[in-house]
Amino acid sequence: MSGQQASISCDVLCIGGGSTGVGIARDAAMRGLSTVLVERGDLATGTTGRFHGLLHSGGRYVVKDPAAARECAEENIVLRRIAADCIEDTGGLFVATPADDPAYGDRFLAGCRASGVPVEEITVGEALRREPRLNPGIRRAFLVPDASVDSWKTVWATVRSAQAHAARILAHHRVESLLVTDRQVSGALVVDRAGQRTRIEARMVVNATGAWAGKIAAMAGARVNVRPGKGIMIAMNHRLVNTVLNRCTMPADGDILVPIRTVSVIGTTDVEVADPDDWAITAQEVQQMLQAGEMLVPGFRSARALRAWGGVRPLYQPEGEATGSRDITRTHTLLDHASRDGIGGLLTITGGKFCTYRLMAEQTVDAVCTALGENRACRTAEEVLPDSTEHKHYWLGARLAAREATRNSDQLVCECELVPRSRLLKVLEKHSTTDLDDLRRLLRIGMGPCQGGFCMLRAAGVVHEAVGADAATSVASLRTFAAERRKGVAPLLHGDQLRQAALDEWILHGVLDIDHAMAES
Amino acid sequence: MGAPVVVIGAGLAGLTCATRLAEQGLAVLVLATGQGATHLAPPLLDVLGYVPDRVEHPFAAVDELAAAMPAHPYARLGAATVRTALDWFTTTVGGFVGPGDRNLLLPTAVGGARPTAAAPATMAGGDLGRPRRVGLVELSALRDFHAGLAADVLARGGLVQEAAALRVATPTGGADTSPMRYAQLFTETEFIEAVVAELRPQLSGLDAVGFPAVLGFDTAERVWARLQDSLGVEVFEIALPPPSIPGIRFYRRLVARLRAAGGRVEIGSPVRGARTDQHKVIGVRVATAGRDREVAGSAYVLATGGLRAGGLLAGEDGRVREPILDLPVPQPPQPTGDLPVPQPPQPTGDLATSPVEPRLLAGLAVDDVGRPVDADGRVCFDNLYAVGATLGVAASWRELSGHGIALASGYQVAGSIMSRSQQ
Repeated sequence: MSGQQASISCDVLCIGGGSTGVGIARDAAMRGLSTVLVERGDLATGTTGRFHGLLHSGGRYVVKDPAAARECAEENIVLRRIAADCIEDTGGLFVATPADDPAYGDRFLAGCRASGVPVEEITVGEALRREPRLNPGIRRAFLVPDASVDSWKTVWATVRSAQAHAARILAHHRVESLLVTDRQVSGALVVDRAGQRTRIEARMVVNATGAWAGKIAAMAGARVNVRPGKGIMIAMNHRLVNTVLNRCTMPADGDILVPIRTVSVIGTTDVEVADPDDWAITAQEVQQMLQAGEMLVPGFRSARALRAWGGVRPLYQPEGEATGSRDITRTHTLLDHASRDGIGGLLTITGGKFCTYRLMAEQTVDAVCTALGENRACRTAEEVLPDSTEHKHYWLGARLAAREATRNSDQLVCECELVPRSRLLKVLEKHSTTDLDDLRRLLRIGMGPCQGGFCMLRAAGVVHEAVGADAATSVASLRTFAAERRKGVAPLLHGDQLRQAALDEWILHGVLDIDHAMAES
Repeated sequence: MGAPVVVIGAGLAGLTCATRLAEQGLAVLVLATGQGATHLAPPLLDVLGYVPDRVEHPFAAVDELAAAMPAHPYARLGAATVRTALDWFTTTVGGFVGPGDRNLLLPTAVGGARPTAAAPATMAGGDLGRPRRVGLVELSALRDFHAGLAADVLARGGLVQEAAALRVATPTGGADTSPMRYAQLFTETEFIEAVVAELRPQLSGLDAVGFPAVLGFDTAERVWARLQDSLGVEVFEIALPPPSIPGIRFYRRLVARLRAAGGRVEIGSPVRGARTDQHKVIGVRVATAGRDREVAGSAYVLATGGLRAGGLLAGEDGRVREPILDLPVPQPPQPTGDLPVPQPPQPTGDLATSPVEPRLLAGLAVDDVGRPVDADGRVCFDNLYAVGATLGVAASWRELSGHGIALASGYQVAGSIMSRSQQ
């Protein structure tokens, strides 16, 4: 172990680098509080980076969870204003398929009006005109302001804003223990990838670790009952639809289809798991999702499934209540451990959804200010994130348009996601990472049909040159990336995707012989 | 002349079988959907590379593998057939170094060291058997070869004394120039001279120079010799991810050889099905504009490739099937259906070899002369044979045995058909 131990002192230490955590870091920093954020992995590698990308209009919750619906509706408007560049304005449809009760539509309409979710019923013909692949057997259709949102882009933009306000963001820093004396939390001891420890002293510690909140709270001796709810999703290799599709029914499994970037994502399930770090995707869940897709878009199963993945929702359940995972509210919970457990200096924020991350951050930092006796107003709903200052939404053709403009002067590194070399270099200037998986989250490299088979080597070559990565790191990064991609494809190995996987395997081993590179050293 | 032998598939196995038959005077017709793996894979004639340790003596290792894995195609073919097939191929097509008793060890595009039994002369000079100081050429507009990375990995791997990246920025008319376009540029004297002029000042202290494998099609060997002359060092090509320019080069030669021997090749003629009676295949159905036509043959060779090529298909239920004749395919063990969830990235440096997906090992089982058999070992059709990647069991892309299996099985089935036609 390293003998030297760095130390940092700050007003607010936020634990967790998902959307909520970075939102808190930004909010606190903008209010002039000195802020540090720690995250055990890369930013947005937990639940934030593992959802379907639906920016809710609120429609999904209007009947079952009106409070959540209202929050979504309000934050939807705020995010469109401050994070325009991260959002594609796809619009959303709620449709009653032949399997759904058309009468639910009336409750849905009433619920939308009561919760402030803009809604308009359109004819089936109009819905089919908008989305020709939609099940022609639908009986009702409602238009709502759903959209798709790039969670990584949002997190990075939020981080850049936080950093511009002097927040320190420490990815790959795991909390080893909280500093607790006489039931007062005063910071944390964190350790980075190299084993270097840092002692961070803070006036206030915020536990924003979502599904992992119970684990961090336990370090201070508090009990937080978070029930991790697993949801799986499958990305199909086309935009099967260009509007978000929801089934107009009580929220259930596989009733959302989200067009995002170059793919469409079907989701999701909700299964409680014991440990947010230890669970699996079953073949049966994959089948269930594909079948659910078939109900919205006939022929869905014959499209090519690219990848399956899952995330765990942080569903907070107050002590003593027992309900199914689907029935736990989607709103968030802010726990002040001083009043709740008699443990000072610690707040836990959990539950909630990506769409309300800014609101969650605002309420959390309000509580931080109250605890610290500061009176500072929140400005995150007004100040626009970097890259969104022109208030233009992302559009599907953006990368292609950029590519067309530079096609003779710039090299394409990733064909599927249209990532040119210049863009990769620009990101490397800012982030200086050698990890191809970090670059995937930053640029979507390797997320298309070939799942990295062709672009991985190119990206590794550019990284090696630009960042000066050493040989062993480059080779290890290639191997790790390949293994990571293989995991997501494993549940879907049939048809064309199996052919693709076989080709990728052959390039990696048959052409590059990646497993034996540097074997002699 | 009677009905031809119909070979379905124009990859290495199918073309080997067809050429061998045509040389012996049989009528042969190759029907193929498109070009096969020859256009994707470098023509490195692998026999056996890993078992899982790196193999030094490939033919000796084939016999050892055969003893250990009775269901492996090599167990039936044997080292002697593999050797005969490789010797026949390298003699017939020309331009190869090997096979000798030892594997060559060639640098890969990422700086790995890949064993192979025989390689085109333009590539064999890369052999890492003796320590050298090597320069690797980065062509500025070619995105599939990063000389800096490859040189660094190669040098750290300890198989060269020294490795350096050499930069060539000779204009190609764009920032993104395909291997096909580079291959064309390397037929132009002006371009070659410009490349040589850029390289000369960078050569001091180097024994050999590796180019990405784009030195042209029919003229590649001349270009290669010319580069060696002008640069005054040994020059070799390094295989790239698809497409493979050397692969296309040797495909063209092999097809020319087949045609010269009287064989016919129809690319763009996908075989969609077959008509059979209880014992024999009577004809195959070829998709053509308007309506399908039936082609009748004296014997049929299924050289349609494995799962990668589409000769075998995996359904959603995980079962692998053969789409033309619905032949019985021994099924690999089913995956359990659960997969571990990706954890936050592990610290880098994890060098464990990744596991083989069992489904990719599915393929046909055949009898001693190469005819597909069912689960009880009964021959499916008396006049139907299967070769190459349609055969199961071998993880050919890991053990590096694909070309050996293709050549030996193609060669052997040609022998089976000839001996029966003489009866």
